Amino acid sequence: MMKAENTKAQMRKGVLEYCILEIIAKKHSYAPDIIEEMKKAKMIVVEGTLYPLLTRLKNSGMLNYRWEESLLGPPRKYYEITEIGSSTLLELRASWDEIVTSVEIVKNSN
Amino acid sequence: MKKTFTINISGIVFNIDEDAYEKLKNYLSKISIHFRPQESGDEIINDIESRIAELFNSRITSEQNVIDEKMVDQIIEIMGLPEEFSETDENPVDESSKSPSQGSHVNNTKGNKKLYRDPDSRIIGGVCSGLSHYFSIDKLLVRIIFFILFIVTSGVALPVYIILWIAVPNARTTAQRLEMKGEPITVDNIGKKVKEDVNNPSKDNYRSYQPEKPTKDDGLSVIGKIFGIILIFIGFSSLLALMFGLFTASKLTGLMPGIFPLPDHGIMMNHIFSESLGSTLLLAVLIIVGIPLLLIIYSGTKLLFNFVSNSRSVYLSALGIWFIGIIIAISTAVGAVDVFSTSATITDNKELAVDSDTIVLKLDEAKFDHYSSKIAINNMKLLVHNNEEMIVASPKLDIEKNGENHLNLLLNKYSKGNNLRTAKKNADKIEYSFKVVGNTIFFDPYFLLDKNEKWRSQNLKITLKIPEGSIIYIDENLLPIIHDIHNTSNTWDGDMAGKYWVMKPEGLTFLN
Repeated sequence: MMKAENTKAQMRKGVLEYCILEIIAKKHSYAPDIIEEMKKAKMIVVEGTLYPLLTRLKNSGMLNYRWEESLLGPPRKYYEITEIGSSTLLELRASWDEIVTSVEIVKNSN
Repeated sequence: MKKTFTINISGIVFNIDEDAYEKLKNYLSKISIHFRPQESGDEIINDIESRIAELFNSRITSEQNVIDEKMVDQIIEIMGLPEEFSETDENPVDESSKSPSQGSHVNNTKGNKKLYRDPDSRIIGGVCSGLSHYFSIDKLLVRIIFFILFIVTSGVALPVYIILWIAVPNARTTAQRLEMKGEPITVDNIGKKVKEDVNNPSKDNYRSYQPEKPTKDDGLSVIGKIFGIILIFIGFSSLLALMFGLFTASKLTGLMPGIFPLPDHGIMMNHIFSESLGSTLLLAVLIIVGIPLLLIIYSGTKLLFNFVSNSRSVYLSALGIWFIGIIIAISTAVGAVDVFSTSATITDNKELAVDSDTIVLKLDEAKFDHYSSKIAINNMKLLVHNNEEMIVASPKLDIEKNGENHLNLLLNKYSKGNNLRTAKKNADKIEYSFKVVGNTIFFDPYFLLDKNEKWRSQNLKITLKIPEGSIIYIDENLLPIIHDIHNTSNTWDGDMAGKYWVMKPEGLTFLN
């Protein structure tokens, strides 16, 4: 049982960044908006998971952020995708399709 | 009944009850320990704290304005525990290797002090108290050292402070405050620190949300107020001295014509520098010295009355204006020197008609008799006549042989300027007159500069060219202007006066 959980976590980890890029590419997003999407897709359960990922993507130049004032609390960071991010996203899409195809082939061969 | 604390998360102030506080403190410490060793750990922790502040803020209502345990539980559920984040870590670690790796991180930061500005005990920007933590000395001592430096260098130390202010980060998070004091970042220490913050809230906590909260009135702020009064006093008296000094300077240099009567001896400055230069220079001095003084007064008032303002932008704009002052001063100085960069000479050749073979050379002494002169630079004199000033200088007279059979007077006019054209123009503005009466040539003792002309090292060399066989008499009164006249007996200029000389093929010769 633990083993399966571990593998599932590993699998999710691989596609998390891809999913985040997909969401931000659609529109400028604030972290909780991204969480909302991820929760719907059952990718992430807790918000704490997202912040290090966003910071890592930002540090590697794929995301940018701007500050926006908020009535509810501290200023919010709104993330947007950069050119590097967009081209990475295209590559990731292609390789995701490849993986899906590969898995299908393996599953269905017999 | 429950005890409540006031806490500050991401600059927002909350009231929290005791149990909830313990729980939140514990949770934030875990987050801090989990992320701090990672790349951009501080940023991640700040993001999470901001979000937590926002979540709390959205849950606070007028009925429920204290954070309770239930709220903290909800937030932890939303944000998740560090154990649940492991899937996103750079290097996922097994349970077995987890604790040692974290242990080593704690050890690395132990005793590793970093320079931060201390927001808890700041007077202006927290630079001095930050330095005091860094060097483990009393902050009062650092402040006194800075203050003395400031006075001794007459404000030059101010940019140093401002640069430190901009460059050194503020210790915002609990972990940064621990780093500032060189204490290891452990759960215990962070907890201890958070507790201290609660019992001893810093000024920053109340900036945005509770401005009406009375400020603490302990020993520190009393010292601060005394310090403030001293600053204001020093600032004002220096500013007064500066104003008085500039006023006197402008009076002496006559930069405010019309306000002051022209002094008897005239104003030499006006004949050297352009009209605008002096006032520009005074402006530059006013900015360079005045801005730091104004800032001293500003800081003093801030200390004394403890008001909230955006000091950073005040100091930054002051720094900007100060640099503009420096630039004005430098460019003015360069411009003032530049007008002496190029020199030029122009020559006027005049043919004279004298009705005799014997020519008498005399100085037209009467002409400048009624002028007064008190100031002189180089060969230039400043004369005042009928409340009008003029710049005069002695020409230099030489006598040479003329190849042709007539009398010529060459006026070599020399001047400097910022380029060849202006240098020539300046030279051309040299006015010199002489007159021929019978067999006598009367030379003016001085050449004049046009009323609006500035002193640009002007010079006038007069060469009298006489044909062979002419006899000249050099009058005694011509001595001030004759200069190195060549003669066959190598007689000194002084001994040539009062005698007759004849121009022979080999040169001017004494005639018995």
